[in-house]
Order: sequence, then C-alpha cells, then structure tokens
Amino acid sequence: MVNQERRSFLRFAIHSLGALFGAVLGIPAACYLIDARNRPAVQRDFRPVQGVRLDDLQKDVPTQGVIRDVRTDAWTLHPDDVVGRVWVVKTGNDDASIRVLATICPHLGCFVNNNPPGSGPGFTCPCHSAKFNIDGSKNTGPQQRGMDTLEWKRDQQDRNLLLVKFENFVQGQSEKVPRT
Amino acid sequence: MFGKLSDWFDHRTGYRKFRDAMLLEHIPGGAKWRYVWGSTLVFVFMIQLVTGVLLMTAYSPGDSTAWGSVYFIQYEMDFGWLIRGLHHFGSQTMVVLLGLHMLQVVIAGAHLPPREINWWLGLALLGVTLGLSLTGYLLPWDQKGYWATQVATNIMRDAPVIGPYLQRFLVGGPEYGNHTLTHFYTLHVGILPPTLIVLVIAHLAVFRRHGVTSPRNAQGEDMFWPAQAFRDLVVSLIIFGAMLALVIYAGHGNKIDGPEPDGMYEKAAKAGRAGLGANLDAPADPDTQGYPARPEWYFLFLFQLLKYFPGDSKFIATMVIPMGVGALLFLLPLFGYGRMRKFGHFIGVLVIVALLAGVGVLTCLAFADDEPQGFLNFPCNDVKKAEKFQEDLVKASKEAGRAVNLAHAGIPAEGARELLRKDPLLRGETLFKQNCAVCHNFSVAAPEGDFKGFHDADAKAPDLGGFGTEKWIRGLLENPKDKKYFGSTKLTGMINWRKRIEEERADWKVQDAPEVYKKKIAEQDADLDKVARFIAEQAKPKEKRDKTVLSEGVKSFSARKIHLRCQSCHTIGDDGGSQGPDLTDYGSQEWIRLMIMSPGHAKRYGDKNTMPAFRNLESPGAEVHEMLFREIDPKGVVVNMSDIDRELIIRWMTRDHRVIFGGNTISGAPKPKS
Repeated sequence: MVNQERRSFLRFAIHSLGALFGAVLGIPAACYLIDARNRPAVQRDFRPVQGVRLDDLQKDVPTQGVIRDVRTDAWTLHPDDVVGRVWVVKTGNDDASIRVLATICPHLGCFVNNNPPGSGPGFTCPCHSAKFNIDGSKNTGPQQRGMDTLEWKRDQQDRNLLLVKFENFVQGQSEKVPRT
Repeated sequence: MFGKLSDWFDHRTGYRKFRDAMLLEHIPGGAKWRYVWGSTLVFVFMIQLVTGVLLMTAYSPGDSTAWGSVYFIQYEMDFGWLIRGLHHFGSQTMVVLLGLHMLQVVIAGAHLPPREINWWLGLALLGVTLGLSLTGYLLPWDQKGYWATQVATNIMRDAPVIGPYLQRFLVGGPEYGNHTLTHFYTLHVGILPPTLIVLVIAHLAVFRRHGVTSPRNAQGEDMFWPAQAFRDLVVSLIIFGAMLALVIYAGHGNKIDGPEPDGMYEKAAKAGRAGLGANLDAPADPDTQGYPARPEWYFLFLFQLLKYFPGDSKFIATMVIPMGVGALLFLLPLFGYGRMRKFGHFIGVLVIVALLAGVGVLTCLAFADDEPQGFLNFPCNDVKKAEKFQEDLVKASKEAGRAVNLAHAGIPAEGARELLRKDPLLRGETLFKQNCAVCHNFSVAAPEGDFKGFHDADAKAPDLGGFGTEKWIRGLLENPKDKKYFGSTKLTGMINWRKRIEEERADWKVQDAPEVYKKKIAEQDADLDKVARFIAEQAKPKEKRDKTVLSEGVKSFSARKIHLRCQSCHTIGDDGGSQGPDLTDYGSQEWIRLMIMSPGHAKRYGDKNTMPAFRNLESPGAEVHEMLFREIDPKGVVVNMSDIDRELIIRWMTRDHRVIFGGNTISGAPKPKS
C-alpha cells in the first residue's frame, strides 16, 4: 500500500515537473516561432514613380513605373530598393481618368502584363489568364476582383512627377484589403 | 473520454506495449541517484534538438547572411536570446555530462565484458558530440568561430593519407567561405544528429540487454518507471536550471545602446539587447590582424598540447596522442576478460581519472597562459604575451559590441562584415590618417575612446578637429594666422582681413578713451560671434537651422563694416563675392564633399587652391568625371579615392557614425584575362 502511494506520488511528481519544464521551454519557443507577427507590413508614404511623366501619358496606353524605397528584409537593410512597380493608365483627358494600378495580380500574386500588340488595350496575368480591362477592372478569368488601384498625386514642385502611396494587398479575395 | 480515446489508439497502434517495454525495466538493487547521468545526457540532447530546430527556422548558412541571421535571432526575435543561449550552453553541458557519465561507467565497471560494445558505442557518441560542438561553433560566422575553426580544420590536415582531402572537403575549397558554412551546417543538422540518434538507440538497446551494472551485494529491486525516472527527471531539471542560469547570468552578450523595450513581455522577449544569452562576436573577417583565436574551453587542452610540440613534431599533438588515447579508450574493456577483470576495472578507473585530470590540468595551463596573473595556482608563462592577448581580447570585444549596435540599424546586403569595414567610427579615422593627416591635424578637446587626435607640428594645412563648428570658426576669425587655421598655408585672404581689424583697433587705442576703446572692441567681438554662429549654422540640415541665428547672422555677414564685409569675398546663398570659398552649407557633408573632390572649384578655393582633389579614378564613369574636372581645374592634382572611402572620411569628420551602405552596383565581375 505504501509502495503504491509512493509510486502514485512519483508519477504525479514526474508529470508535474514535466509540465513545468514543458512550459518553461515551450512558451518562449512558441513566442519565438510566431515572432513574425511583430513585423507588420511597412506603411509607406507617397513615393516618386520613376519612368512615368504625367503629361507624357497617352490615352489607353499603359506605362510602367518603378517605386524605390528603403526595404528591410529581416536583418538586411536595402537603402534604395525596388519595392514595387505600377501600371499607369489614362483613359480620358483629365487627371480624374488617370489610374495607378498595382502590377500584382489580385488572384494569386503573379506579375500582370500589358496586353501584347493586337490584343486590344488591357492586361493579362501570365499565370492563370486573369484578364483585366484597360482601367484595371475585372474582365474574364479566375480573379475575384479587378487590379488594385493605388492612391496618387502630383508633386508640388514638379507637377509632372507622379507620387504614389504604394501598398501590397491580400490576394485571392473579392475585397481589396491592404496587407498588414 | 481520454481513457476511451487512449484505448482506441492502443487498439490501433499497440503503443502501451511499446511504452511498457521502454519504461518497465528492472533495476536490481533499486533506483539510484548515481544512475542518472545517461538519462541527463538524453534530456540535454533533446533540448539541443528542440532548440536546434527552432534556430534552423531563422538561421541562414551563407557568408553574407549567417552572422546577420544569428544577430537577428539573438537581438530581434522574441526569446531568440533564450533559445540560442540554451543551445549554446546545452552543447557545453553535454560535454561535461559526457565526462561524468564516462567516469560513472568505469567506476561501476560497466565498460567491462559483456558490455564492451556499449562502451564502444559510447565512445562513438562522444566523438559525434564533439563533432557537433565543433561544427556548431563556426555557424554564427563570427570572428571567434571563424578563427578557432580555422585551427581545427588545419589540424585535421595532419591525419594520415586522407587528412588533406578531408580538410579540403570539409572546408569546401581551399579557403573558408559559403561552402564551409553549408558543409558545416549539413554536418551539424543533417548528418551528426541522426547519427547520434541511431547511436543512442543502439546504446540503449545494448544497455537494456545487459541491464544496469549493479553492485554485487545489491538487494531489492525497482522499476525504471517511476522510481528511477523521477530521479532522472529531478537531476535533469537541476541541470536545466543551471543552463538557464548560465544563459541569464554568464552569457557575456553585448548590449545594444538605446531605449529599453517597453513592458514586461518586451523586456523579457528582447532581453538579448540587455546582454543576456550567448555571446556573438564581431562578423567573421579574413582581413583581421591578430585576432586572439581560442577554441571553446573544452578543446583548450588540445590547444595547450600543441604548444609542447613545435614545428614538425606538431603531428604528435594533433594525431599521435589523440589517436593513442582513442585506441587506449577503445581497448579499455578488453582488460576485463577472465582473470584480468579486477585489474581491468582498476585500469579503467585509472585511465579515465588520469585522462580527465590531464585534460583539466592542460585546460588550466591554457587559461593561465592567457591571464597575466595566472589561473588558480597555475602561473602565466609569458606575461607580456598574456597582456597582449587580453588587450586584443578587449579590442575584439569592443568591435563585437560596435557590430551588434550597428546591426541594430540594419545590415548591408553585402553581409555583416561590411558593418565594421564601412563604419565611419572605426574606418574613418584610419582613412583620414592615411589620406588627410599627411597635411591636416585633427585635434580633439578630450580623448574619444582610444583616439587622442592627430598632431604634427609641421602640418601644412588647417587643423580639421571641430571644423565648421562655432568654436572653430570663431577661432579662425580671431586668429587666422594661427597654425590651426591658415598659418601654414599660402592662403592670405583671411590673414589680411584680420590684419586690417588689428590696424583699426590700434587706431582706436590711440584715438579713443579706454572705456570707449573697450566698448568698440566688445561690439566688434559681438559681431564676430554672430557671424561665427551664423556660419556654423550652415552645417546643419536646412530644416534644423535656427531662424533667429540666421536672420541676425545674415545682417552681420553682409554688413559693410571693416571687421565684417564677409560678403565681399564669400557667398552664402546667391549673394556674395568669389575671392574666398562659398560658405553656403559650410561644414556640412555636402560642403566637405566638393572640397575633397574639387578643392580648386570656384566655389571652394579656386586658383588659390593647393590641395589635391580626391576622386574615384577606377570605377565606370570615372573617366567622365575626370574629363569634367579638367574643364574647371586643368592643372589640379588628382589622387585616387573610392567613393565609399571618401564618405567614410566625411562622416568621421562630421561625427556621423552611420554605416555606409552600397547602392546599386556599378561594377561587374572582373574582366577575364586574355
């Protein structure tokens, strides 16, 4: 009987100490593993777009622009890296008809191409043939929404310079939601 | 519910039978505290596995990424300091436990027949564990691991026949680099741990075949579960506690300066920034002079042994003795056959105690040689050498601290090595000395660390210590012919200007009453103070300049009094003369850059200039710059200086200690030789 009680106590002690050890090592280990939550997506301010002059835009002819900024990748800092590209299109004669479209397909994240000559104005994703109209709206294909539009404005000093608030958006859903 | 689920699982897998087979082992003589060492080794190895896998999720084995990823684990990831610290001290704990386990085994005579195969398996486990320690030491790719492992792989070369090939294979080429890391990483995570697991399983299986070596007069019996398991766990947890204490109190990590993380959780999760956890030395750099390389403490005995066998006899220390000891350990169980058993037991204890004592003494001697005061009762052999070692150690520690603090702002894509190579604080001083201190002095008000300034009585150009500051400018206005300013140069503009002031003052002294004279002097000095403040303000970024200082200063700067008239020779903004340098943004990095690259430019010293231009003459586009330069300064002397070196000097001069990051690359691989 005494022996049985001793065995029960030892079993209880082993399980308790084991649980304590598991917590002491396991909790920090779990925090370490989900550490990426501490590094949210960068919220960028308006950045100049290279390769686009606003007054040179032609109606229904997409122009590709490049956005450079500081980019941090875990421990590496790129002080002046390409953080994204945009398609800039003008569908009318005034600023209201200018649209800045993210080049990333809202379906699953491939790079959306301008339609080749002879295929009519618009964009096509090379991965799953998602097609978009020239203003970025959804045409045909598996995508749930049109190309993502980005906020833009003219530079105060150089009115011909395009400034864009560059963001990445969550793919594979009908709502346009910025990555956080 | 749990019982039913457990029954269902057992019915499908039969796990209870397996569990019972594992746990229900008879221990003749009952559970004992001294039987715990084998289990503690398994326990610590399990910690190593868990923490190792966690580290793998963030580690990147590459010449330009390894140190950065370890830095990131240690200082940026939540509890990375703890995970890495446990792994670091876990490896050392395993070595200590191996020693204790071996000692316990030979004392119990458990190495003697019929357990000789298990002894040999144990020796193999010892080798694999040491292999894990050695390969892991290199992975952070810091100076300590880099230089210490160089020694180890060079020793490997001494192995007969296969040595050079083995070394070449392991290093992944003739020199350390990316493949050294990938090879060591593969060994450390992909080959040695599975080998160790297989050996442990075999070791346990063979152990179970013969059971615990209990004393002859042992009475009673216990089962492993729970009596021995409890003892094993208690001691294992004590060891874990000791490892935790080492991580927290003995890690010698470098602190990161700056604000502490907010809140309890952040403080604990980022405690690496407060210096907790394993040490991370400066990034590995082959271009290092006299790094004080030492292996991890448990390999120090081998390091010490090498000292007694100089030159070609090194082979004795690197191969003959270690292999001899290995052979002796291998043969140890064979002394236990037949009538030799008693003798064999005694020999076993003697050999292991002697080996451990030998290792201990050699380790102490190694420590003593590095400490000017000696270590314990062991004297230092060469105090001067030990002092130099300690000096180098302090320098290495400083560089490690500097690297970690620089990395906190981000690491260049070229790799962490560039942190110190492109650190204005460390490199700028050297570059200034090589390129600028030939003509310029650089005084400092008080020593800045080890730097006490550059002083040469025969300096031919102004002293640039404090250049562009209010004090420096005011000093120049007060006495431009001082050697600190233009006294040793051919520039006479400011000296003549001051001469006119002195003449005016002399006239005042003759003409005016003493009070009036003093008042005029004070007014004049007050004007010069304003000018000095105004010009010094030019060094700041435009948005940070004091508007009051600017508005008052510009009045003085452009006034037409004799002692002012600055604008008749100098320009600030759009207005002013061109006899003297343009003082727009004077003292700023932009101003200094043009001065360095084109001192003969009309905005600097024009045709009065005697300083050579320092320009990049090697990279693509240099020829265009050279052509344009010649248009404005046909006879100017040009000295080659890379863009990065120039910026390092400028930042060092202006006390801007941010690392220089490379931008878009402008050069390709070297052209092949035809």
